[in-house]
Amino acid sequence: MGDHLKVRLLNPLKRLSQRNKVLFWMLVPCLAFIFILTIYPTVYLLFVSLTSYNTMEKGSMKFIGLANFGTFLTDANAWHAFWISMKHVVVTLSLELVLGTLTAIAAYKLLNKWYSRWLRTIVLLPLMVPSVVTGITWAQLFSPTNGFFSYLASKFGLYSVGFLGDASTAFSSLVAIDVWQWTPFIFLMILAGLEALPAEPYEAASIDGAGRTRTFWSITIPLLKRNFLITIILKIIFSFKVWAEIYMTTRGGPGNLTETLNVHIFNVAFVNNNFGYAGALSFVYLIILNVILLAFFKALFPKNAV
Amino acid sequence: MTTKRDPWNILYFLFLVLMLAFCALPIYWIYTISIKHPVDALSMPPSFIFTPTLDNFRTIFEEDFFSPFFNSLKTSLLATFGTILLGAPAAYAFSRWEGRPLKNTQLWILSPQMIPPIVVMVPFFLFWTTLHLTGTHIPLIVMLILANLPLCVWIVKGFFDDIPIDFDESGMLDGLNRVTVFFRIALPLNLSGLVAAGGFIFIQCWNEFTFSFLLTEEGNKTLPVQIAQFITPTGTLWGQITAASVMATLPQIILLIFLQKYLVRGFSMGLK
Repeated sequence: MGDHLKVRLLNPLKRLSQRNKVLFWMLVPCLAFIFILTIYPTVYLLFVSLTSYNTMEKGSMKFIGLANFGTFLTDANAWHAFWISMKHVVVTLSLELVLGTLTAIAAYKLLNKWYSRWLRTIVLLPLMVPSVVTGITWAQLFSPTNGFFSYLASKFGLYSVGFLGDASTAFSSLVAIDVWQWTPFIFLMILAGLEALPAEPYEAASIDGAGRTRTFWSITIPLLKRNFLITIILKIIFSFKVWAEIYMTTRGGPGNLTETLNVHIFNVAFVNNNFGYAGALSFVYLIILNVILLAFFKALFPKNAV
Repeated sequence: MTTKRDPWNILYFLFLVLMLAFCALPIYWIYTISIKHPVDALSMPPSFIFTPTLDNFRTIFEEDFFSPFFNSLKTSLLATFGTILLGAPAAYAFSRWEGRPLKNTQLWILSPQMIPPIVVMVPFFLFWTTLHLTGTHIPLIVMLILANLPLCVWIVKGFFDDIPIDFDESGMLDGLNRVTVFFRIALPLNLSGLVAAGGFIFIQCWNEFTFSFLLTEEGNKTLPVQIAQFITPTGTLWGQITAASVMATLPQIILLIFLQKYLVRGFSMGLK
């Protein structure tokens, strides 16, 4: 057994066929690049999180063990940020799924009209806009002095709605921004799924006399299950990256009402310069993310242990 | 002969028009402010009818616009090129691998794509500042390549999978080896795939903000970072900021028209 293991460890290349050997070397640069640049930050992150490093204080890089993680457990701000992040992901995802699916179905029914291509291009526009510009656009639309929505609200007799600056509307305003930017993504993915649907189940259903609603819930939705799963995973990944839109509009305010984990970590690291604690927060965030995504990937690829 | 008209189509159409307005109005709004005089831009109620002017564009062109614009262009192009250089051979290898498929490796390389940039900024920021490289574009380009490489491998692999393996086999019979088959047969056949992946990655790099914000300095910042700086402590320069935003969204809107059919592959990371 020992010899066998030695051979396997020392000569993995020998086990490759002649063709795979060349392919192996084509993989190496890419895999090495990704390997080094994912292992390095993870290890360094763990190292920094065990110190009291503050970029503004000289010689503050002292080993303090798990103290940062202890601080995290009792840090109400961090737990609040975690809660806001989760709320943001769930609320935006649900709204976007409904709106995006409806838009995709509508576009699918009107597929072969002369205007369908242009229609699609316009609906997809928000996906192409840089996050900074998205933030600026909506900061302007929500601006209390001359924003379009403030104007619209005043038409309905609602004066001085703060939108992004008001405690009662700030979170909903951020949700609106996310819905604007990401509904087109759901639309794009679900429309692609609809276009790839087979025709036979529908013919069978129509022979059996199934109605419109029944066909939708019993055929379309089950057939699109995998598309929905992939779309949801990807949207969650995109959601956890959201930072610039919030930084350009509310910066987590008013107070810390819209402070997501990303905003919180940025503030701890680059405003308070507390790199040690920010490292610990990032590390916890990484683990949470891994658990969530692993669960989803297990559902997506059941036979492969990811 | 009359065609049967579905009354539901009217509902679908109305819903689409609403969505269209929702998606397009914010962009229309920003584009019109960029051609308004400051008086019109700041008026309340907003001026819907106004005399257009190009003053805002003239101002940003005279001030600090071209240097960030070209910095963005340079970093995005180099990062796209670097990504494809590393990604295309790997994609080909994944696609043509014999025996047990490398599914787990393929899933594992997706990890950089999933990590929020802020989470890895602490270690990377310390790394690049220790190397004294933040005055150059090297950190940003490396980060952009890392962020887009998994995507590139998955998209391009999808395109290689569509090319029948017989093409490779016949090339081998003609005396080519794996490497020459890759360069002389597979790559030329996959040119449209590479262009699609490249276009998509270019847009991602061009739009990127977090890494650019933290890894560039005053002299080498990119366009999104410059735009963010138009929000000053004394107020937002709406004319300039919207004019710069127009310039920062034009390339993508043009690319969108050409890349639309590949967009699903781009955004879905090639997952099926």
